[in-house]
Order: sequence, then C-alpha cells, then structure tokens
Amino acid sequence: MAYSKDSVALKGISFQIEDGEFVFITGPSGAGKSSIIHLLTCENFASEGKLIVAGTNLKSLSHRQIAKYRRKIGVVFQDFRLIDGMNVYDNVAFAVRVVGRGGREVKERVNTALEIVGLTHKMYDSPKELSGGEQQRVALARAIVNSPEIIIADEPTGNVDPAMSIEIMKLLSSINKNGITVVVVTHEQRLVKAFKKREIRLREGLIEFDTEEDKHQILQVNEKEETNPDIPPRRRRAQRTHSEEDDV
Amino acid sequence: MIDRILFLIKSAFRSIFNNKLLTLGSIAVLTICLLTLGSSVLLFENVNLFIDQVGDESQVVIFIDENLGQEDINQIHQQLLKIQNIQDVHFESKERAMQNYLDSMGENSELFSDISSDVLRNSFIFNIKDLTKFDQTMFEISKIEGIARIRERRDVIERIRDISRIVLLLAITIITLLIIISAMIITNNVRTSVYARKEEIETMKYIGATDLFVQTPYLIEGIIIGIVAGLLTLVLTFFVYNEIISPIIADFGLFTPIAIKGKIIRFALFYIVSGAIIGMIGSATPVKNYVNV
Repeated sequence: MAYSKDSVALKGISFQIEDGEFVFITGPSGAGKSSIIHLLTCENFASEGKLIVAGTNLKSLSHRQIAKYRRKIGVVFQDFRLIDGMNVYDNVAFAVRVVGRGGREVKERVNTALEIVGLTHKMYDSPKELSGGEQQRVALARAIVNSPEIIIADEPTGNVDPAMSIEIMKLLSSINKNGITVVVVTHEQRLVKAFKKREIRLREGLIEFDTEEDKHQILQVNEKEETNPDIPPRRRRAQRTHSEEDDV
Repeated sequence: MIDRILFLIKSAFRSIFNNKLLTLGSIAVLTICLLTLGSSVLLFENVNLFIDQVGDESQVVIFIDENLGQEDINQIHQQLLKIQNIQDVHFESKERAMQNYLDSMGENSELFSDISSDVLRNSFIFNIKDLTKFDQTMFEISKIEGIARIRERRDVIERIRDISRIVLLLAITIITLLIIISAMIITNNVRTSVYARKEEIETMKYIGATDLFVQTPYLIEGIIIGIVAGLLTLVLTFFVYNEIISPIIADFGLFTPIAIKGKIIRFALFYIVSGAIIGMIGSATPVKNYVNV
C-alpha cells in the first residue's frame, strides 16, 4: 500500500487471520499499523494486491458498498469518537439505526451491549461526564451492538489508565470468546505479553514476525546483541533506545 | 420506517439545540437574505404601480378638426381603437368639454357662461399602456387624418421614465449584491457549523452510515432554519412595510403604495419556500465535502 510514489507504507505483506481469532498487530511508529487499520476500514485502498475481509474483496467495493461492508465490522478508535451531543444510550443506538433497525430492537440491542460493557447505569449520561475508560467501553458497546463479524480496535488503550487498559482488553477477549474475530493494533507490549495471543509485528512496512517461532528467534537475537561486548556501547544505546520506543 | 424518519428529525433538532449560536447566526443571515429578496419584490411592485399611476395621469388628448362630421369622427375612433398601446379611449364633445371647464371654474363659472362651446374642439382622451413605447404610439396616432392637435406631457413622462429606470437599475444592483453577500455568508456559516461536526460525520460514516443517512438531518436542519427565517421575515416585512415604509410613501403623496395585507399567503409561501430551499442547499453543499470517507 502506497500513499505516493515515495511513501510506501506496507511493502507487499501477506497474512491471514482465521474466523474467531484474536490478533495483536504491533510495531514501532511508522511500521504500518495505522495503514492496516485504514485498509480494513476502507479509508484507503491497497495500491497493489488483494485484501479480503469477511469474504469481501475490499478493492472492488463501490462507495455505497463500503457503507454496507462497514456494518459487518465494529471499529474502536483510540480517541473513542463518541458524539458529544448524544448521551451514552443514543451513541450506541445510533449504530443500530444506521443499519436500518428501529423500535424495540434498538432498545434490546443497546441494553445488551451496555450490559456487556457494564455501563447500563450510565446510559443517560453524556460522554463528557465519563472517564476515558468508560468512554472506551461505550465505544466498545457501539462496536459490538450490531453483532459484527470482526472488531478492529485501533490503540484502544491509548487514552486510558493502565488498570482500565487491562479491563478493556479483558472485554475484547470475552467478546472474542463469543466467536467474534478481534484485531487489536497496539504498541503496548505489556498488554501483548499479558494476554498471550497471536502477534503480528511490523517494522518499516514489513512483517518482522508472525509465528511464535519467528518471534522467539528475533527476541533472542535482540537479547544477544544487547549483551554482546563486541558491539560498541554507542550502537547498543541506539538499539536500546529503539527497543524502548517500541514498547512505549 | 416511521421510527427512522422520527430519528432523523430528532437528530436535526438535536443538532439545532446543540449548536444554538451557529443556528441563530444562520437564521439571522437567512432572514436578512429573505428580507432583501422580499424588499426587492415589494420595490419592483411599487415602482411598477408608480409608473402605472403616473401613466393614468398622463392622459393624451387629441383634438379633432372642427370641419369634420360625425362619420369622420367615428372613423378616427375606430382607428384609435386599432392602436394596441392605448386604453380607455373615450370621446369628449366640445359641449362636454365646455361644461367641464365651467365646472372647474367653480363660483366664477358665470363669467364664462356666455361663451359658445364652438370655441372648443371635439376630442378623444385616452391613456398609454406601456410608456416605454410612447414615441412609437405617438407616431402611429400622428398618421391618423383629421387630428388638429395632440396634447401630451411627453417631457414629464420621459423624466418619470428615466427616474423609474434609474431606481430599478439601482435596486437591482443593490439587491443582487446583497443576495450574493448573504448567500456567501450563509454558505460560510454552514461550512463552519459542518466543520465543527466533521468528526461526528466521519464517525457516522465509519459506523456504516450511508451518505443520505448522514446528510438527511442536515437537510432537515436547513429546512427548519429556512422556515423559521421565513416566518421571521414575514413578520418583519409586514411590520416594517406597514408601519414605516408605507406611511412614508403615502406622506410624499407621490402614489398610493401597494397594500400587502391581502397578499399574506403569497408572501408567506414565498418566504417559507425560498427559506427552506436556500437553507437546504446551504446545508447540503458543505456536508457533501465530508461524507466521502
């Protein structure tokens, strides 16, 4: 995927995510994580190759079909993207109405979604009255309210405190246990280690590792370089800084 | 379906109340725009009325050669009736003219009572329909045989015509400029309002909303703003015209201004429909720029 001739974000990468899988996409800044989100949400399209999601080839979608495709996926953004003028209930209900449902079904679906994220008691509050963690849970309720096939979460814990981050990940994990595929883009290695799920790590538009074997090997190489007295301290420091950046 | 429509209407009202200041700004600008449009209509109607009334006063009188008999006079009458740009043609005999003259003398009429009506001529009196074709009409009349003299107030008519032309030209220029400025302000206002909700529109699109679903509340909002501005303009027009402009025109005594009381439905429809259309177009155009995500 390329934004321009000189700016290639993803360089011919290929991977497959199975139905019902939970996958972390990680990597340092500029690795191509956001580009993957843009492709999955049809904000951008691949300049070459194919991207098939839930049986749909995203490259061949018309403007109108994009709206229909987006109803199959639930997106969670780092900045929550809740509509300030609507209360919690309406923010979630809006997603149900968008797909053409109305009446009692809206109420039932919204109540169920809010129950899952534990916010039934705050359904008439404005998003501004909620903490970051609560706002992200509302966004999560909005993402799951139409029973999507896939949840795409873009740095879902980026704006919440560490304790709430764990809560958000637990919620995503429990949603995944109900058969929904979950793709989480994050740079928080702490969470990736804690949840022990498949990790696709990107670096400079390429896949650095995907399988557990590759991951192990690469981490070992990094560790060796770290302790090797032959590598000058300056290079070691540069490597450490780079590695720390990745874990921010 | 009804639930969906109600939701979209509710969304429009929510947006109006959440953006009170911008909404008020849009209503104010649209009201000014409609008021300008309405004033232009009233100005045009009044100028036309003024020209018509001046036309009524600028009668043309043609005096018939005293040697002609009744048959010739009838022939002149027939020829006059064939000219399209004249109306209300009526014959005034020299006896009738004398009587009118004596009547106009009032108490002094007795001083002239001995004068014979033979000193006067029979005449035809009529009005010109379209003053812009005055010269052409006079040329046609002059070709009729048996006319001794024509009395018309060409100079007065020409001056009035010039003034009317200048007034209309000025009015059109000022109104056109005001409409362009108002339209620009409205578009800018709505653009600001939509830009403030750019993220909201993008979020709606990411959830899977179609362009129409996103645009509809804005269209309804534009229509509501247009209707409110239309009603406000209606009240303002009636108040300003009836209480301020109409009395001023009447005080000058130039002509009787048109009465708008009987035209309330026409004006209401004009303002509300124009307001709704301008509001709808003004709201829909900037939203289009943000739905392509």
